[in-house]
Amino acid sequence: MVKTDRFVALIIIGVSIYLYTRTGRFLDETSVDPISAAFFPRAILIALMACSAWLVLKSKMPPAVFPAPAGVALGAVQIVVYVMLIEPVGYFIVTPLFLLIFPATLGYRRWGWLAGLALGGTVLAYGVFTRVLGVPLPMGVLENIGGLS
Amino acid sequence: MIEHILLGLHAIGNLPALIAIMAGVVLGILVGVMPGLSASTGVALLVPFTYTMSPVASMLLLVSLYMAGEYGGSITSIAIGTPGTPAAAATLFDGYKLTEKGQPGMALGTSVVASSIGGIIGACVLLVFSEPLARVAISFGAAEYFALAVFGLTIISSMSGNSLLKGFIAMLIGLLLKTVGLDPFTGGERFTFGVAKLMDGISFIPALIGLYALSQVFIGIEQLGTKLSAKAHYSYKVPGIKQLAKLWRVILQSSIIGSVIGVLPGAGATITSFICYNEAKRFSKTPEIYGTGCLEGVAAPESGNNAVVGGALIPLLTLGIPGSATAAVLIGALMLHGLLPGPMLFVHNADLVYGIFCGLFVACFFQLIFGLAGIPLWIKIISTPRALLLPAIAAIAIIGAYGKDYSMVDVWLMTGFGFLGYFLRKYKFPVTPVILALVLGGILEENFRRALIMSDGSYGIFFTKPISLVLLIMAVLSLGSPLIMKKLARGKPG
Repeated sequence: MVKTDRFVALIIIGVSIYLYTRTGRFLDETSVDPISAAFFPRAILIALMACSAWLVLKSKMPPAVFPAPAGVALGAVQIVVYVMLIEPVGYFIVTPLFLLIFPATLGYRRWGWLAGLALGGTVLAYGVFTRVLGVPLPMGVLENIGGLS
Repeated sequence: MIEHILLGLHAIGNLPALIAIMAGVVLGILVGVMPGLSASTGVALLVPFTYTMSPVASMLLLVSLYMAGEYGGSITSIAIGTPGTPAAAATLFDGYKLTEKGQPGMALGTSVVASSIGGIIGACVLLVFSEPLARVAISFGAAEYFALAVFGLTIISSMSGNSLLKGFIAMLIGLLLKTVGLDPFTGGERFTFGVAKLMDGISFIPALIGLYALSQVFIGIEQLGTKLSAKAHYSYKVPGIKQLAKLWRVILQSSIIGSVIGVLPGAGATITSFICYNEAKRFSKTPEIYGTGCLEGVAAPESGNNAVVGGALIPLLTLGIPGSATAAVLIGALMLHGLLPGPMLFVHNADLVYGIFCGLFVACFFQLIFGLAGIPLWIKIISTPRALLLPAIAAIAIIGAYGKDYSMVDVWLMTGFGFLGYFLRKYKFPVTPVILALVLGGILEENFRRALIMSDGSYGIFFTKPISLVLLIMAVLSLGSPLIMKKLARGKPG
């Protein structure tokens, strides 16, 4: 873990330095406030850099990257694709596909249960959110087919 | 007091409120039963379902889930020897031994009765001590609120696992994220990068769902190899009144310990369980039976960790300081309804506050009923394939984030926080300090700056006001408290 600690700490330091340079653009209105709008973010960034530097010093091994396992990467891709498609394509098309494909990629192969979860889960969540809680879900291409949202 | 209790009873004396409590209890037990899901994940996942509910019903739902989630973890501990929640780890020592002896029903029955009594005693402590504390807090000014926020942030010391440094880094990330948006004093933009939606700051609910629920999906995928199954051929005979009556001293002692520790910010249910177990063993005339499968070893941690719930709600409701990770999530739920936890809640929303108090008692009652009646069912649920559960959690998280403002920006934010939470967890950074800092960061900065305006820039204001000074001293002590707690909790069980 020490190897990854150093890697993560160096990333945090890099991002902190970049964000610190951005604080120069904050509106400075010290007539209103004895300290400026940049004071707090700068104090936090300095503390963040100091803590991360300490973490670097604590870890004695060379930096290395530990990639996420393939399963997690595949899951992350499916989640991102679902988020990308839910609004333009619509909840009723992408949700059952997501609930069918995602468990299958995780190794679940009882297709009857999967189909049940995909369809039942989609209808149940729609019912709870839209009908019970009054939260409209994106209908996408089905928007004009009538009465769904 | 009586008048307030009547107000609370009126708030929960209707069908929607009772259904909310019942649903919270059932869902809480389910969340607790499933290893890997904690009460905080459950509350975060359920928050989107409360968007259109009344504040009273939504808080009853979430607080009941919190309470029952603490109990639900014991079912998994007892049935398969894997704690459903970290707080149920101490229950495993004797609970699983009873299962190995073929008596899981005895252990589960004791667990639900002890949990419910512990919950009731915690609720009593909440009822008695909240109002006086809120009365003191009502006189707080900017310096006191700043000191209070500092004190609240010291909770991270007990949430940081083995590395306080990583807890600090996580907290600083949360504080930094809280500065995104328009500066409250000058109105200037900070870290918005031209995104209009970010001018209002980072939405708390998507952050909450992402950090707790979506990140748990990724962690769950990593753990898919571990198979969990409960054997079904045991006897589910529950303990009788006489057997339970013998446990009254252990339950009472542990409930009082749990309520007191619950009030201390950050001590949490996990440490409490171990302390209660060790104290019960220390005061026992037969300490040698602990760890061999005795009912006292189940009753002590379970009554303690449920009593924590009432205790943890005291700083949350009276001061706006979360006493535990789940309490931090509950603050988000309150803010969703435009309510700021703190002393003014007692003035402007007394029905809500006393409704929560009374609701806790009812939740304990439902927990007892559903806990006992559902024993075989809860054990079956342990075997639910996680390959089905995880995608369902992901879908609810995404739809839930969308449902807040019908905004895809929130969904992307939630997804981003899900990745952030996963990487934090994977590299052993605690997630809760990020949430805690998102809750307290605004109070911290605004009151710091307000106090300095009032004192013409003199930092002495924080040390010359007695309450502020006491809170700052308490903050320093709080940083060291986990070490003391761990020392108390240490001692070889069994």
